[in-house]
Amino acid sequence: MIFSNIFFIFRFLTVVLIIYYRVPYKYKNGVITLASLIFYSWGEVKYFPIMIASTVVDFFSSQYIEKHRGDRKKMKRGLACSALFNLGSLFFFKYADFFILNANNFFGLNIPLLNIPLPLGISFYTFQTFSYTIDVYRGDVEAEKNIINFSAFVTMFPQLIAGPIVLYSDVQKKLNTHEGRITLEGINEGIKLFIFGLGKKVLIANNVGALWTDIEAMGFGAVSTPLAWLGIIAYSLQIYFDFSGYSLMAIGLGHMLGFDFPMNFNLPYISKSITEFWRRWHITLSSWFRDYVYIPLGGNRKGLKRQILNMLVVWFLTGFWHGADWNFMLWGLYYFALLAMEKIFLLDWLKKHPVPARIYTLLAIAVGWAIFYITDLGALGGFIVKMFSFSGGISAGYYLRNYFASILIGVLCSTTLTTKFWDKYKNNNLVMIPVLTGIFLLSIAYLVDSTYNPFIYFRF
Amino acid sequence: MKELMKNLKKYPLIIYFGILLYAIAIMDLFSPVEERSELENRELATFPKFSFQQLFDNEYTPKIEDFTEDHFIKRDSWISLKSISESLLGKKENNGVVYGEDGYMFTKFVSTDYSQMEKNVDYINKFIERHSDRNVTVILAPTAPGVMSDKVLEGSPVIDTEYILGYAQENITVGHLLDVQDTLKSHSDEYIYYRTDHHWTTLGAWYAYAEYMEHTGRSNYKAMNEYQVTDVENFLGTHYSKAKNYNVQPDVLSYIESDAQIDIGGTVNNIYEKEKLEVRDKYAMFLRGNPGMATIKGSGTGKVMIIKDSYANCFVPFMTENYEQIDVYDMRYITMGLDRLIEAADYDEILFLYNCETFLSDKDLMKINMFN
Repeated sequence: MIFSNIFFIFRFLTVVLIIYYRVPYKYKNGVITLASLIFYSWGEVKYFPIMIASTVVDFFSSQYIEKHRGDRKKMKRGLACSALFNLGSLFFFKYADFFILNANNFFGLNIPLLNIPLPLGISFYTFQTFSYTIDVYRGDVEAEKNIINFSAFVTMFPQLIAGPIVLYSDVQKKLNTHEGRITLEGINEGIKLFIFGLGKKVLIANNVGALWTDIEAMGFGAVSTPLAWLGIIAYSLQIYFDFSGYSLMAIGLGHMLGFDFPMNFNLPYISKSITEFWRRWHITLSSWFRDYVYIPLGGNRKGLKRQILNMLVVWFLTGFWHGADWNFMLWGLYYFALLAMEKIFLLDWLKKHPVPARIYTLLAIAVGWAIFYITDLGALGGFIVKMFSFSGGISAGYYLRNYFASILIGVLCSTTLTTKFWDKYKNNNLVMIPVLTGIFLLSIAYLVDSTYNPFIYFRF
Repeated sequence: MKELMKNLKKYPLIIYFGILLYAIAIMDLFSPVEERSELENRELATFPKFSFQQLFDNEYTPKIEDFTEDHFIKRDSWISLKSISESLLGKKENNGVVYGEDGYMFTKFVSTDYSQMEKNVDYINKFIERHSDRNVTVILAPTAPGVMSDKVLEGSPVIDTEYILGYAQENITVGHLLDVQDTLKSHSDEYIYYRTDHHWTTLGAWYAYAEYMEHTGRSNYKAMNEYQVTDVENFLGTHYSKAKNYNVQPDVLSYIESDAQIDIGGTVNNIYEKEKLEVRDKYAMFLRGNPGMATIKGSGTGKVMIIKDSYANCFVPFMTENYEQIDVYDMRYITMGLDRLIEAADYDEILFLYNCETFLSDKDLMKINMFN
């Protein structure tokens, strides 16, 4: 199930909220677990056991570590068990076919592909459960004693499929709070965030996204240079509003259930460097890699050379995490190159020249999205040549007229105008209620007549 | 509880959206289930029967979602709301339909793959080779964008009929293609294509009919104004069913009065199914829809076979005064060899009548050379 869906909003959510609010506190985590398992199975019922296994393995690994605290050997055994399961299932479901395919190509083998569909959200929840066991191993958190509480953390439907990547420490307190978890203040905030998120996804992302789909149908090499740019701008807006809208809906739902999920996006397109961009884009993923890969590798404490090497590892993994294909690796390494360059010399210059800095950042991001989207490396090359060669092809005129208003709205909503509006009016119901009503009803209208409502995280 | 109510008063936004959400949800739950949507001219989803097979194939739950969307309360009003919003955003298209000037709508073609068309030309050439003694004619009717080009907004992604007809001109065995595009173009200021439907109007079909009569050496055909014509207002066609634009300009559907009878599988009726004029899909009145095989008795001489798509449906009524027997074949439903039928009926003429959009993607034309 996805949030931007009539069934989710008017059937699933309405029923779950009533039950969740009505049952006594001691059953609330059970309700979350049950609702989340239904939510998850809705899209892929066969993977229900993976969800259960994921919960059980990390619950007991952490229990084992907790029980043998002090005994390094046994603790390591517990950690290895979790690592083996989480990374193993991630590898099996997400990467096995990629390696088989490439092994077949390189060595002329003929190993049959597994062709197993990717379990929804596996990249997100394996990271969450694995980081929990690492935290327990490090002694940063105490192992959860109640398996229902723990399964509520793992399966919690708002963040199950597309993040934000919630750490156990983010919700630990609330999961074990019996009184005062749910507040009217939180519900109030949650409603606002959910509706804004819904609008971002349905009204902006879907609206501009159709342009990029058209360009793909034309063939990336068939478009003129202006249309190539229009297209990549549309895709940049689509992926931002789609992903951040989805995260915002998740955060809003979290508030309604009484949890505070971490912020996942913070106006990434106003960045003045790529370094800054990655502090504003998919924040919980960058933090995860920082805390569980980069810093354990030594971070910046072992000299510049080692730091660059650590960055290389992190960005290779970040790229590969996004999808099992060469272009995602390339995308990761592309960002590594930019970040390393900024780290070594560019950042100071960028700080002194804000206008060129913005242009450079946006250009680099746009090229990045082309690499990210176009899996066929030949087509990718053709498209990037199109972007920078001023050549003819299918002209942009019609598409500019058709998408101008949507793109303009998208651009304006990518700036600080949105946060300024939020800061000024968030508690002013006379403004908030009409604005949210408009967004909500219009979003429903678009969902009822949904000719284009993609879910673009299937690969993650 | 009392305290909760007191506190809730401090959060009117929660009360407001709570009521809005649950009011819509509950009203939706109790709203009657319609079987079809007149607006969209289609059957709405039915509630899926549960089966484990479907559940495990991930086919069950999407059907529930479709059902919920299809039967959502006030569905038509939501669709109009979206249409108004799209129009305010300056969108020039919706759901595969591109808007033109003066309320015209066209099928959207983003990219065009001509490989099927090339195959179709080959199939027809093979057919012509076998039946060179029977006056085979091919009409590829241009769809609206090729004729009403002044109604097409510049750069719109629509079909390139020039290319298709050019290819056909060059590749269909010489003498067999009857190009009606120029004739239609010279009348592009007349009402020869529907605004809201992908078909040509009865008048448009007449121009092509007249060309065909000249082509086959019959000059005893009537001019359009010699027919008794009936107009039916408020025709909303297939393009509208997809685009559902709130500011649509309905079409007028015309037909020439006729007593001709059509025999579809042994049942004989008037060639028009006038009951269809009461429903959305009015064009389906012509030839009573799209019969797989049908025979029409005319008052003229000679036998003609027509292998066709729905563009022929309003074209055929004109022919009833020129031919003794008109047999129409829709290749989608044909599973037997045409050659034997042709031998048996001993047709004098064979006409292929397809519109360019069908011809581009039709996968059933291969059957004209099969099963023999």
